[in-house]
Amino acid sequence: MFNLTQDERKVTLFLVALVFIGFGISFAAKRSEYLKKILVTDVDTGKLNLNEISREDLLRLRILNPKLGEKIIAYRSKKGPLSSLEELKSIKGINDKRVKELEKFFYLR
Amino acid sequence: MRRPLSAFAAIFSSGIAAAGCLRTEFKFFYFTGLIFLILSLISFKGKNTFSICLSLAVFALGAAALKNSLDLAKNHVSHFAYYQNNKTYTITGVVKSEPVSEGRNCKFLLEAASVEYGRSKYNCQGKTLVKLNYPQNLLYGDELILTGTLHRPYKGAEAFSYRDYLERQGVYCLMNARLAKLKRHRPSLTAAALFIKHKMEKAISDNLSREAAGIMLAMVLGDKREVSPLITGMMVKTGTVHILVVSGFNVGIVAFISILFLKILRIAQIPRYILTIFILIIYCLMTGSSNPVMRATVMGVFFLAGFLLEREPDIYNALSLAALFILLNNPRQLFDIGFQLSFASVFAIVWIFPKLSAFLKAERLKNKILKLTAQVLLVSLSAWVGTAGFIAYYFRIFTPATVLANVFAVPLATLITLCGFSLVFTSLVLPGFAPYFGSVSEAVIAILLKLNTWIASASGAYCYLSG
Repeated sequence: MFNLTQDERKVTLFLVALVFIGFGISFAAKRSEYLKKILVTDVDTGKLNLNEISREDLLRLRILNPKLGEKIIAYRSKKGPLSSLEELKSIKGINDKRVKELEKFFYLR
Repeated sequence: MRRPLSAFAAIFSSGIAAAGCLRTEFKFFYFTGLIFLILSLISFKGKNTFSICLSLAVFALGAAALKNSLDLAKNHVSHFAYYQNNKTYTITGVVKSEPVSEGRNCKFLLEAASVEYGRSKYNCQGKTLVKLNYPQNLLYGDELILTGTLHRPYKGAEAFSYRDYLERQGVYCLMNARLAKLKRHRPSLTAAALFIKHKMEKAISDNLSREAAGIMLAMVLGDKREVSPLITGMMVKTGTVHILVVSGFNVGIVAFISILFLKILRIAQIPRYILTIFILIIYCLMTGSSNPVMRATVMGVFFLAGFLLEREPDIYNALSLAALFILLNNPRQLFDIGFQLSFASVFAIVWIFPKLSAFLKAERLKNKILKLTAQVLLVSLSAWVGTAGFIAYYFRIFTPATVLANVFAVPLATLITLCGFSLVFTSLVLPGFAPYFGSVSEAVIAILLKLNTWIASASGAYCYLSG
């Protein structure tokens, strides 16, 4: 019935297999929150704990300018672990807008 | 000599590297090169003398090429830019890169043709990086009249100088433009390639979450704007950041898909290869013609041309031709990290991998899965050996986890790229099926990121080097 060459068969099989897997994933993601967590890219992927991040890691990320990075590290060393990112507003140069930006990259635990 | 191109590329690159360290002028290298060229003509029949004279001529040619690229024309647009210069200029030029929106701004490269201030107007040349202070739908090839201030990029105190980076791309000044007037649009092959790119971008963004789309756009179209710096940082730690760059691997997939698709359409071999070469050139233009893509495209075209001319292509010659192609166009690329990493990794894979494989007798493994795993591991190890020095020097990081991380990252990246191209193709032909291709891509990207996070958090996965 299917008069396909070897290469055509490979391509067809690959595409049909992808559709099958896609169906399976969309079905599974609807039924199980656990599977959804595994199979869908997490918005928080890669987010770092600001209470644990090393000085070197923070400065290398280039999210903040080095001076501000140093100020955050100094604040953390002086006051201990942060309980909220809002606390950082007491550092000169960090305002509401900056805190919102930082929320995209860091979490606290 | 079996690989004359390799020798030429090595000698030419040495000339560029030497000229980079010396303050000698262009004229010296140029006339020295000419003398050696004449000497090689005189000693045409002498075997060793001819080789030595020709090598020295090529060496001087490399050095002269670098010095020539550093010498800017008298009417170069950068001569109008000085530090703290607040004069308002009007520049006419053509958009030479894809305009990128950044918040309320729009950035692009402009090839300047004339500059005006007060009542004076001068013809000029050279590229300037324009930041337009309001968003506008501009296209590659648009001829514009811009009004704003010109200034030179600051060097900065960090190890990576933005000014040096821009200069390697041939950009010596920046423009803050406030007003833009469109004169006309100049159609070109690049403009057409970017049009296709936008269609592909839309297909990817419509069917994937924002994070996954960012990664897919980087892997398929070389557009890393939407990738979070956290993900890039994590991938640097595991040594898998190369998968976010369009490289030979993607070009190979595009060539493979094109040949297969054209074969299915029953197109004869010669036109099929010629069309594939054309598709590779379009893909190169779509992805911004960066060094890795340019290298891979030249190598791909070399291989396909080899098939067309019924000559057995040699990978070392292909690699050398690609290096010569890039360096003749812009010798300063020799000092670019992308150029160094791209060529070092391919050279290491081509040179070290067969030796390692023979030494460890990986070819003799009978179990196919075991054999494939061993090969992926050895390719990853070879690439790591080839690039570890450069990574340690530039990024001050040592990443032993690279070898292990790449064993899973490379196959997953292959799958993601294949899914990406399938998604784009399906969204054009059978849009109803596109979300299912999107689900598979999303899942594979999620798995890749989770495994990467896990490896990056393992102790001893990476360490920073001092200095």
